[in-house]
Amino acid sequence: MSARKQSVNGTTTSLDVRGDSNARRGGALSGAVARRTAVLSRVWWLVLVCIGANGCGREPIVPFGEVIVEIHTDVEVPKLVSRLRVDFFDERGAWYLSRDISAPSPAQWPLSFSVVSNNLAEGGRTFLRLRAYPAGGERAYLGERFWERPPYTPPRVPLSLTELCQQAQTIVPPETVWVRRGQSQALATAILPEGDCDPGDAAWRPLDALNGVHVDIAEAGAYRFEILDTYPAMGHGTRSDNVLFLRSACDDASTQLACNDDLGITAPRVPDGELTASQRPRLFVEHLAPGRYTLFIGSRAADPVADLRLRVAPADAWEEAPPPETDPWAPPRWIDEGSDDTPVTEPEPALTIDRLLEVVVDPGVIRRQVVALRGACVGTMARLSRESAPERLVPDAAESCIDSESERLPVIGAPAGDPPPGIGSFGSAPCPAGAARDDVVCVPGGAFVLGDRTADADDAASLSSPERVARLQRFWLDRREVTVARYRSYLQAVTGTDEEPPDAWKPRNNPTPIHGDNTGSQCSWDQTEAHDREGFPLSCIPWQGARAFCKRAAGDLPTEAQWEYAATAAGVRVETPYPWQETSPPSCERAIVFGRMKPLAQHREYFGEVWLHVSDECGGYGPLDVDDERGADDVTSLGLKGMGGNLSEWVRDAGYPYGGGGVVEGLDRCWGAQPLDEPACLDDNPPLRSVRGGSWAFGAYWLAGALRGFRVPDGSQRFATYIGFRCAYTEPPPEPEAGE
Amino acid sequence: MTGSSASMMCGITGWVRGVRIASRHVTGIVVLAACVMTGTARAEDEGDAPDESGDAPNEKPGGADEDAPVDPKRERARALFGEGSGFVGKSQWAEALGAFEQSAALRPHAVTRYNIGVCLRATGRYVAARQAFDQALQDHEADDRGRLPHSLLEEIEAFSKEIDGILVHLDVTLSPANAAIAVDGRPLEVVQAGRSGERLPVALAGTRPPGPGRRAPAAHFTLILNPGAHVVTLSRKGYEDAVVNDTFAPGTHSELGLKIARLPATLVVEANESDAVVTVAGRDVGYAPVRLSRPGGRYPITVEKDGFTTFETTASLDPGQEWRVSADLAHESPALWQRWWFWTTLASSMASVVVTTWYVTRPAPQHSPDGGGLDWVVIVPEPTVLAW
Repeated sequence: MSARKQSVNGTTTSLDVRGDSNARRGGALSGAVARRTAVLSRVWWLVLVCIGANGCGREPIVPFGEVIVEIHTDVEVPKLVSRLRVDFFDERGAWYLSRDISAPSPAQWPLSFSVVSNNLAEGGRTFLRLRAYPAGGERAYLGERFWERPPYTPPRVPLSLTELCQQAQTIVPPETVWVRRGQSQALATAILPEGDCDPGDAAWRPLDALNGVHVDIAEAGAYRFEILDTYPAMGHGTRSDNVLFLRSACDDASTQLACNDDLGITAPRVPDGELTASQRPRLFVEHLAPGRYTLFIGSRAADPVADLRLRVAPADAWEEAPPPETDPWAPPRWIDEGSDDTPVTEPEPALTIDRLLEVVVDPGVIRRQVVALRGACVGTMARLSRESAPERLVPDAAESCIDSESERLPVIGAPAGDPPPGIGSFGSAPCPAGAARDDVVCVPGGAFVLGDRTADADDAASLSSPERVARLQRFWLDRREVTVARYRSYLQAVTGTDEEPPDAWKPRNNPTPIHGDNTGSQCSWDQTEAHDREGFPLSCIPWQGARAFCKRAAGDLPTEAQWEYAATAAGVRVETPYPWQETSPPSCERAIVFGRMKPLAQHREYFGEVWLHVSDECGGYGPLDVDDERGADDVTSLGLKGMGGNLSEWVRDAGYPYGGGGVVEGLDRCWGAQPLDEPACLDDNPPLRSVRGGSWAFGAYWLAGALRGFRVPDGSQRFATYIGFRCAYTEPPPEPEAGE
Repeated sequence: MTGSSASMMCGITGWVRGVRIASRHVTGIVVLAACVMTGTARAEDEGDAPDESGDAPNEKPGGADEDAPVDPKRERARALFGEGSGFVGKSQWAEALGAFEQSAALRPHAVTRYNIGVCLRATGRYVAARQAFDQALQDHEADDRGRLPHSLLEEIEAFSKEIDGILVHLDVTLSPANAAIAVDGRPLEVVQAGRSGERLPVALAGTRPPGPGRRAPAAHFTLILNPGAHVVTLSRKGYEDAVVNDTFAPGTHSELGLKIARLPATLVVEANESDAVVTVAGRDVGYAPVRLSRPGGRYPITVEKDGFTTFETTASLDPGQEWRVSADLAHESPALWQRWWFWTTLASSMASVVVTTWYVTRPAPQHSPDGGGLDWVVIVPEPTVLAW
């Protein structure tokens, strides 16, 4: 038995800690040992007799009050949880102890420790904050503030002037909002700028895309209207000629007060990110009387759908108020005898199960308190008080998640014990038993970390972070990317019916062979079947066409979360960056189809310096048959093929950043609002769609499953020779007929 | 050109013209100049600076010394003085200043010092100009470095008054007092206490050659500097540097507080075994590895784990330093007293005595806390009594 001293909040108490009991040793006792045991047992009998003789008539021993806290979890260890942070707060909410425990093995759970009061008369009370999180899921200590997930509604583009005038959002200057400019032929012909913005010559044409906002002016004066940013940024292949004009009556063109088509010509592409001040379309109005006005934002552009960050403010109060220089909030700190022992890191809230617990130690009572850290609570931050920025825990106001996302219960009065859950049971939805199919793969439901903070390529890193935990239902996914042959069957089946896709949604025809010398088209679709590319994955298809295909097959495009889960986490114990369960990029010796495109001058001209991932490091050219031996290593543990290379794939989500890496303010609204279950940024008509996975054209790095790329969904720019797709299904799709 | 610089130009050009034409009406300046140039025995021996009613100017520089042995140093000083005067005529103040300073280095003279002051004033270096005028007056009073005519004394008085109105006076408070301070990359020149009208120690900025900052004269002192933009840096080992970039209008009197914060030290304790408990200065700071931030100083460190030898060391942390230690915990090898027969013998002979004694004299009844699977026991602190 060993003695240890612990110092707690100024009180140094000597206490005994039970040592390791290694008495359980197997094997038969030898004669010597047996004799020794006999002697010892006599001695101990003697001792017991002595104690009995002396103890008669004495008061019974009163033990210290003790609560053995037993911590269970229902998430997978170590995939989602491998560490536990325990913070102790005293009765007044002051932080007095913290410890971070590594528990990466499921066998280590449940974790338990003792809370003891040496006050024999009254016992004691303390509060615990338990945070379970994955290894590496930490950030520098901020003493996170309480944060409520904001709601998000995808922006909508009106289809008529009447709809616009009735439903346009209203802004009150000074205010900055996001507005989506979208395509509507009816709207474009109904709303035309007049005056200076109507040169009246042959080169003039109506606006391709439009939207408007109502502006309520309370004080007369000069006002400024300016587009601060566009999404996608102009470097993303867009060329925008923005036009701003203001009317005092929404539906009356004769009330136009001002107009600015100042750029007049296509704005220059900017390399990336925000517009510079000189590139921002703006409108000044010298005098506006109080009242309601409508600002129209139009564009003549090749790909007109875009999100615009618009600011309206009095001209003499244009700048937004700067944030305060010093943040007055002091986060909670662990001060021990004047020394600041606050840990320098804290668990990342989005990856953490955060639970507050009241522990009451009654004098003379030893009991066990079971607490369950449930996966449903990942990302639901505990609230230490009703203030948004508490310096300490306020026991009467503190609340935390027990078992439902975004729901918190007060820490005082919460049930004293939870039923212990089974480890790994959170989100578990196994596939039904049955014969495996060659065309689709069942992906069992589960939870995983979506995103990858360690991705380190320039813009890709910021798109893949911050990480979050996602829980997905079971689904089925095509084992291979959709092939030319499969699409040909589909097209034959729907041609002439209501389901036939418009020509703009069909893949680009390439009647020529795919040469190995970088010349000619690389699209795989060939209407004539002349080039034996029936087993090739279908490329050069707009997002709408891909989705229409999947819908007809009783499925849909997979969401980003489904796609990433299938590529990195489904069916494995630990997530790996690459679909074939490896953590390093592959070499060209692996049978994976990548690094086969010679970068051409036009790539740089077209995409700018950002287009760095085109690579010919492995030689060869173009995509390969989905079952080609040269791609045989590109297979997940569940048997999904081509998730890394051959073609990148359209997914269902709109292409918006998660929020990492200095994203323009407001662009992460969609992902910021997503829940734990089935997160997906779904939007009917976004400017960009997300693309997942590497391709024959990309370098090794881009084969990682968490990396994201965005692309204009239709073929208005160019058909992407590197993008194909596969379909996901909530129920197993019908078996394909023979020959299909 | 500003009004003040125009009037200054007039003063200087008049003086230069005096040297050139040797007119009696330009008087003492010329004679003085001649004295400087020629180094006459009279000026030296008698220490009698001519004034406006003094002797006729010497039209031929050096003529009075024709019979005396030629002092090359003096000749060089004279030539430099003349060169400086020439530059003044062309308003090349920086070049003139250089020539006058070289001349003064070879042969100090109140008039040369005056000229230096005028050039410094013209180039906007008011602090140095004020100092040069003071030096000219001191030279004048010292008698052995020439004397200034009455008109120049009045000029100096007027210039000094004007400059005092232009200079920036800052009441500087430093924390800590013994930090090194520099302004525009130059150390301060500490002026002895007693300068007119100032009670605090006084330091001048911009008069010393460029170099690292030096310790300030006191925690609270007056800093005199030229108007305009300045960069004040405060540094001390173990503290974060402070850099203040500010622009001061002419004649500003204000206060400037400069404070630098101590750099904390970082203490990293690692161990070759997991779940080893680290204590720093007697406090349990968690399992290794731990990373702590502490003020500089000495801290005893122990790393313990059951069944392993305890690792003990002392960290001596300098501010800003990262101190890293890796505890190598070795399995304890059983000692003699850890053999089974030792305890069996001891137990069988002492058990009844010990147990009986213990039972009779035992402390308040306790039990051994369980500690759970983590073998960790936390004591609930007693409620603290609020003292207000």
